[in-house]
This record gives sequence, structure tokens and C-alpha cells, in this order.
Amino acid sequence: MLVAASLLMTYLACGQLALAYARHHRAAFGRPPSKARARRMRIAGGVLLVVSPIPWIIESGFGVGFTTWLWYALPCVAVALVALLAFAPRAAARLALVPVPRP
Amino acid sequence: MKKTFTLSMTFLHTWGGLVMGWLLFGVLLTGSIAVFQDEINLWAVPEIRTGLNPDRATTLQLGVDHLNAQAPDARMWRIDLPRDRDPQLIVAWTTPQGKTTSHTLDPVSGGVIERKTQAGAFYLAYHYMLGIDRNENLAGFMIVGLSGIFMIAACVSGIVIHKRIFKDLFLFRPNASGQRAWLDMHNVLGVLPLPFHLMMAYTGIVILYWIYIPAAVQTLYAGDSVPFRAEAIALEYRGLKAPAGEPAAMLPLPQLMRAAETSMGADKTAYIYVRDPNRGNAVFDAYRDRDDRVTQQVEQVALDGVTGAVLRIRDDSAISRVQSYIAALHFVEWGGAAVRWAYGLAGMASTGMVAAGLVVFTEKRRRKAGGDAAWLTWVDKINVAAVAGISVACVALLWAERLTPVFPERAQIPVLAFYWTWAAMALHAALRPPRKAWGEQFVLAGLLCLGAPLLGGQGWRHLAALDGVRMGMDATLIGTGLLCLAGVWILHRRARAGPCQPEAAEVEDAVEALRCLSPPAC
Repeated sequence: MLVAASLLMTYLACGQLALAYARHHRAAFGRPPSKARARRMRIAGGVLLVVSPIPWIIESGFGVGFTTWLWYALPCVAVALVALLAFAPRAAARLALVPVPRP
Repeated sequence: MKKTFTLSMTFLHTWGGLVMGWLLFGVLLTGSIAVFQDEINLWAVPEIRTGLNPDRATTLQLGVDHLNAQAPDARMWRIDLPRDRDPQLIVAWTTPQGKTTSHTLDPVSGGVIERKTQAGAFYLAYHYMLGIDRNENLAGFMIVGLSGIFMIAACVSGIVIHKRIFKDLFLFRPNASGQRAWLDMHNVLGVLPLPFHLMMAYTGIVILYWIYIPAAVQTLYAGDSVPFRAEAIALEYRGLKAPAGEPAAMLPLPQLMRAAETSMGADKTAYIYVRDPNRGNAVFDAYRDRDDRVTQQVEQVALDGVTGAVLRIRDDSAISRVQSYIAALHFVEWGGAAVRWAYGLAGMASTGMVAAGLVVFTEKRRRKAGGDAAWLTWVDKINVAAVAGISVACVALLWAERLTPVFPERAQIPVLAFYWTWAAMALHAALRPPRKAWGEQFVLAGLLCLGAPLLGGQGWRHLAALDGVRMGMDATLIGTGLLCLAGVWILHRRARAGPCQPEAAEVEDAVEALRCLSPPAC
């Protein structure tokens, strides 16, 4: 359960960071993010990225937990996100809990 | 050297990537498959029963009884206890003449399982030594080590030449024009798992550092690596140079195992060596399981086989522990199924990166040449053999495992099937136009994957018995087969639609890239 939480948080973090890019935001919502929105997403993504290994560390200890998250889980989640961004950008944004920008 | 550092790095990445890519693809593919070597072995041998959870002491005694019946005068016994991943009891013995024999036993009945397999072990052997027996020569080690060193160089040179590495971090445009889509794929699979690529290549080299950097061993051990390994890997209790002692009764091995587990932890013994069994100088050597810690050289307890006295508890130096940690990152025997899957998928990302890079090489040059230059056609043919051909060969090995009947030398047949299939695929690639050969070989790989679970009706039996591990293997094969067929279908549809027009975003990128060439604007 904690491992799943860690993977989910990693996805949220990568999703926020990716959608802060104008290109990906445009693909998901039809327009680039405002500067303030992009900054908020980068901060949220960065914070989430820092805390996302914690559940895995609680589950498996620092050695196994952090090693697994850093070397194996993070690349897999990031590649999965890229595939989703390429084929279904709106779904990728929804899964990353990025709200639709106000008009 | 080229005019600029970037051009030199581009040259290294491009041409080195092409030549070493042909080798690296197979090494990375078999390595990614070998992550699941125990599961593959289980799938290949239907006689191994799962879900038994036998009492470990009883199982150990079964192994001892078998060894006492088969080889009471052996110089060495080895007993591998069943684990969740590998629920078979394996016993092996070495005769005074140095010949080693192993038997696989049912962990409950003690009956011998006649079917021998090398399925999982072969993928591993190809991964780290190209299947070349290390006892014959070290060529396989050296070539794979060289490719590992090159992989690190390719990663670094790739970072240097990829100017928009952060800007394009999450960028993949599958509908862009041919070369751009493949380049995006190469970049995404190369950059996002970059720490993984670097870690894998580096840890792979560190495992066998004494082969790749032999100067210290040459100097300190007069060029003989055997005493070095005995000292470094702590094999002294396995050495057979001392003469065997007089016959004597050993303490029951389950009792010795329990004694060893007082320091290693209950139920943590993975395998056992007994040197000079049933002799006065018998040594019982228990090795701990690696499933719950990131280390390759695990705790090891040696007991006197007759008195039960503790002879030694292994205590590695700090340097050895660091090397052991680095090696464990590569072997990933810890962390359970979630880690293995993450590791296997990340390994497949490495494989995909190499394959995409090889395609980019030919696509880019084909576009420049304005047609199919003869040398480029041959590069593409080699690409087909190196990428699609070995993929077909890997599945053919599983088919051969299923179809080869039980007889003493059966384990060699699937290995031969692997090499013959690969040779046939190389011939096919040489004879067919590359574009058609790519599709035909991946269709064949897909069909072989889809068909493998059906062979001998085993897939249905796994379903009926709700055999989780084997069902997982079947599902993975079916999923891989569908992916191969879907990939071929998508590429075929794109080829029929003709060359893509660049997307608006692609044009924007090109303009921006040009702007970046003039320093004040970027």
C-alpha cells in the first residue's frame, strides 16, 4: 500500500513538473500556463518529488526503499508519464491532479 | 578529434553507438529478461510444484538423505533450499576427482525432477559473458565489459550533444516525421532513466573489476586470480586442497542450520556447503538469503560439522561492503516482485533506447543520402539481425524448452535453438529488404510469444491450477506478443500513409533550434 502511495506521488510530482512546460500544458489544455501557474506547478512538483520516496522508505527501510525508488521506480514512472502525455495528454493531466486553468 | 568538443562527442556517440549498439542491445535485452530467471525456470519445468511451503528442516534432511545415498564420499555437498521464488530443492556434489553433479528434487517427496533447464541461466550467461564459458576464456567478460564502459561514454557524450536536454525532458512526438519520432524515443528513453543507465553500466563493471582492471591482482598475486578470489570472495572453506579426514559422524544438518541461524536470523539460510561430509574435518557453511538487504556478499557462518563449534562468522571490510552494495544494485535479488518489475522495465527502457538510436542512425543518413545507399542498407540489415533477430531467438529458446523431451543432454538443445534461430534471422535480414525484414521478424516474435503459453496445453493447466507465477509468465508473453504485433501494425500503417508532414510544433522547434545556434538569441 505504501509502495503504491509512493508510486502515485512520484507520478503526481512528474506530472506537475511536465505540465509546467508550455508545450505539454498546451497539449492538455489548449494554451500555455501563466507564469504564476507554471511556478506553482514547479514548486508543487518539486516538493512532491522530495517526499514521494518517504512511503517506500517507511515500508522497506532506507536502503531498499530509497534505492528502489531512485534507481528503478522513478525512471519507470517518468517514462509511463511521457507515453501518456504523448497519446492522451488530457488524461495525463487529470491523473496528475492538475486543475483546468481558469479562462 | 573534430573541430569542436561537441562535434567530437557527436562522432563518438554516433559511430560508437552504432557499433556497440549492435552488441549492447542483446546484452541489455537478455539482462532485462534474466531479472526473471527464476520465474522462467519455473515456467520451463512444469514438474516443479509451487505453493508447497515445506518445513525447511525436513526439506534439508531430504537433501542430505539424497546426497548420502548418491555421494557419501564426495568432497563437497551443496544444498539450495527452496524459496518462494524458486520452490525446488537443488543438491550438488563434487567427487574427489573434481566432477560436479547436480540433481533437482521435489521439496516434499524428495523425488528427482529429471527435466533439466538452462532457460533463465542462459539469458544471464549471455548478458554478462555472451554465453562464452568463462572457464574456457574470458573473451565474453571482456567484450561485455568493453560495451559497459562504452555505455557510460555514450551516456556522457549524449548529455553533451543533447543541447535541449531539460527543455525536451518529457517530449515524445509519436506522430512527428519518422526520424524525429525515433529521435524523441531515443532521447526520452535515454534521458529520463539516465541515472539508471549510468548506474547499470557502472555497477556491471564494478562486479568484475578484477578482470577489467587486473593490475593489482597481477602484482599482488603474481597473475593468479584463484588465490585472490579465495581471499576476496571468502571461498577458503570451499577449498579442497587439504586432504579429507577420517570417517566420522556429522551432527544432523538441520541442527547445524538452526545453530547458524542464531546469528543470521530464523529461516534465512539460502544455501549450504558441506566440505568433506561424513569426515572428521567436515565443515558446514551456511549462506544467508539476500532478499531483504542490498548486498551481494551475504552473511556466512561456518561451523565444525562434527562438533558444531563456530569456525567463523564472515565479517567483510568496509571496502568489500561498498563493492558488495554496488554489485547488489546490479543483481537486484532484494526487494521482491515490485523491485524486479521496476528493474526489468527500466532495463527494457535501456534496450529500447539502443534500438531507437540504431534506427535514428539509418533514418538520418537515408534522408541525407536521398535514397538507399548500399552501405546504409547493410547497416539496416545488421540492425534487423541485432535487434529483431535476437528478440526472435530469445522467444525461440522458450519454445525449445517446451518442445524438447526429457533426456540427459536436453538442457543444451534450447541454447542451440537460440543460436540457430538467430543465425536464421540474420540470413533472413540479409536476403529481404530491411523495411520488410523488420516487420516480418517482429511479427514472428509476436506470434511466437503468443503461441508459447499454448504449447503442450500448459497455459490452460496454469489457469486451472491458478498457478500465479506461471500465469504471470504466460500473461507477460502474451502482452509482449501483442506489443510486437501492435508496433508492427502502427509502423506499417504509417509507412502506407507516406512521409509525414512536419507538425506545426515541429517547425516551431526547428526555428527555435536555429535561433539557439546564434548565442545572443539563446
